[in-house]
Amino acid sequence: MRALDCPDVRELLPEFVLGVLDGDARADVVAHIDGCGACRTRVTELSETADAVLLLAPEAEPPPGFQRRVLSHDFERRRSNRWRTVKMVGLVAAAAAILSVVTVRVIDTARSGSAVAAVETVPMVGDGGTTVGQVDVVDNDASVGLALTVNYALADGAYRVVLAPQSTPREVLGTVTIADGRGAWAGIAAETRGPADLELVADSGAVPCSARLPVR
Amino acid sequence: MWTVTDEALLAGMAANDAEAATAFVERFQRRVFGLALTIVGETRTAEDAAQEAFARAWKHAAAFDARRGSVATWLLTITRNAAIDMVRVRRAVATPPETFAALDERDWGADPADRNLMADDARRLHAALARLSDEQRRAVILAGLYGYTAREVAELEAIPLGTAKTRIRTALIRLRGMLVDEGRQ
Repeated sequence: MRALDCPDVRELLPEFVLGVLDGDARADVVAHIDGCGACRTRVTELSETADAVLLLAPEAEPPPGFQRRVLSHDFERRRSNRWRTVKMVGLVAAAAAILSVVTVRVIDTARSGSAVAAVETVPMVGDGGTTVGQVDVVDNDASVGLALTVNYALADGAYRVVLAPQSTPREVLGTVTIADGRGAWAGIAAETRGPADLELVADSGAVPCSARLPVR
Repeated sequence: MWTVTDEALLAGMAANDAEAATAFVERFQRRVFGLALTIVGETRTAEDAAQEAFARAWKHAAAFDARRGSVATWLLTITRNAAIDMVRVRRAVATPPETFAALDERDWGADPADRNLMADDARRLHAALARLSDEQRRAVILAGLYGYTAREVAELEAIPLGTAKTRIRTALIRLRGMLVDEGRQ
């Protein structure tokens, strides 16, 4: 392995982010960007463009039965380990799973024409009433599944996810990291009585955005 | 109808939720299969590559990091790598990909006919590609989409290795500049 300086690395970065740099040169670049923030930033920038190149391929309808084959190949093999796996991935994934199950059922039900509303989605609102994301809320007996997605206008950084009921003490549920204006978090909260907000709280204590959760 | 985020479906899949996995595959299968078919050029291998892509996505779903990009680009990158792995073994000598002629002769100034989930991004990319030279456009498509190394591009285009590297580098940097400029407008 040889030590490269920034100009050398910048020459190689396009091939690096396109994934076509050979092994030795790739290792040299990785070693450099590990300790060089400026080149790491450049990698991030160029990677966005390299990712976009993949959009050149047109969509195509897979052969009949493709979806079934994918699911039977992968899902059935994993099904026997389902509960053990759920425990391993913990509360966050569990909440997301609950959300997905119920939401997908809502979609399926919508297709069949009947009405079920097991999931409610509320906006996460920031300064000036700007919608910065959304919270999907799922009832689950004595608890509530929450999935937060932020995708607009929030400063990068780590924020505490705080449940703020009007009648009981506030509770920190977790932390979400926002990068490039985007971030996602999922978790479970105990059932609350009466109105409650889900807030993102910065280290300074400021609350840049919040969502009013549905009253249960 | 509720809109489930890509991230929520992926999290459900990570927890081995059958319905979430079904919805995830249904949402992305045309895009994944289309990319695989473009790279490998024939249906049976493309199906194998697409299936392998979903298997890898499922395996690594819990490790997805939203800070590093969208679920769609993460999955398409996995698909590209799976497809390239399948064709690389039979690509001992650099030959043009079977679908390359159609892409190469495309009118890049026109809107993409393909109306997909990321149509705006695709349209911007097409407009930017139209402003590259033919040589630069071929180089970046061969490398970025088909996974050809600079050495393979050099062989295919019958040019020196240094020229191939320059074309790939210049094309990607120019594309980056044009996409950023358009994003500011």
